[in-house]
Amino acid sequence: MDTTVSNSGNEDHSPMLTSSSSSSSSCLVTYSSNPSQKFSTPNYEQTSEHFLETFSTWDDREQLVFVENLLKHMHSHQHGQINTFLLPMLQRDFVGQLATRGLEHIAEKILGYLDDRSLVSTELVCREWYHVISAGMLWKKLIEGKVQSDTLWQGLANRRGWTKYLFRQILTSN
Amino acid sequence: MAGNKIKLQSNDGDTFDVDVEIAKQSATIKTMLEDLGMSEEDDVIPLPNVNSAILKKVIQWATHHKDDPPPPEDDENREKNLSDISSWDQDFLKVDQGTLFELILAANYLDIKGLLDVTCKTVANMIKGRTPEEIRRQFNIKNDFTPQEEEQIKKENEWCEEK
Repeated sequence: MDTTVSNSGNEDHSPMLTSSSSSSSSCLVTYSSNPSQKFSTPNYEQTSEHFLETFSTWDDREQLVFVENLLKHMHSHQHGQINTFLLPMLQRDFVGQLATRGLEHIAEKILGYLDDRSLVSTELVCREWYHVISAGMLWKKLIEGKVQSDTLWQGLANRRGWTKYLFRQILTSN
Repeated sequence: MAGNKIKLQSNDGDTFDVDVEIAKQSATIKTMLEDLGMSEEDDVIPLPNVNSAILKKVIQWATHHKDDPPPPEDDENREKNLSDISSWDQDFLKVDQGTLFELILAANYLDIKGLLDVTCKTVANMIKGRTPEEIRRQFNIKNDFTPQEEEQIKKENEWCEEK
């Protein structure tokens, strides 16, 4: 499918494939270098901006073929540098970004698949993750799951009166 | 019934011809067709939240799963849920995190439960069994806890630490 990558409504895409904004500091070549650094090529900024304009008019496949060629023209130490800014572009903080978009229920769905030990780890990742776990009452849901599926837990919950803390809120929230 | 097609349009203007029965795995599209009485013949269904590359993947997934029974409710056994991903789906979801993220958004918007289940499980599998630092590295997340806060949470969870 050939389409121009115009990045319709997606701010998460890599700057490398985005049609460049007016600022030349976000373009491919200067991405990781110090913006205050002087370029030795006269009119560098103008030329690179002009080039990016052309680049953004190409379709998906054309851009890919071109970048591949471009990379082949570069040295391996440059490839290493490219790698350091490319890798983070390929990563997503799923839980954090879903919560930011108001999709906490999906973040909770993801974390809801985890066992107790993994849930302990996720609480320590960062504030946003900790918040999603506590706001989604994921520990409570994990214990409820155990009580429903495991007769030992079920017996404990009945005998010690835990049940009244567990399922009531779930019923009202559904 | 067989052979009926509808046109789905991505937000970057590409149009895809899709079997109605395949497209109806999306509860969102099913509602559009049945409740809102959109005609199947000549109307194009615009999907303003999905780009062409992702829509293509979604159609590929829905085509492969067209004869599946409706997805089961998740089991209470979390371990079992997580390992319950078909090898076709595992291959299909060997994509970069950005694509996986967009597939989750599309599955949510189009309301395709099977696809949402399997994409969320895939992310959960990337988290499972890892230390907090490994998780941060996996998803490029910065630790923004103060040392005091971190200590506090560790204390709360001391009961389950293996000594």
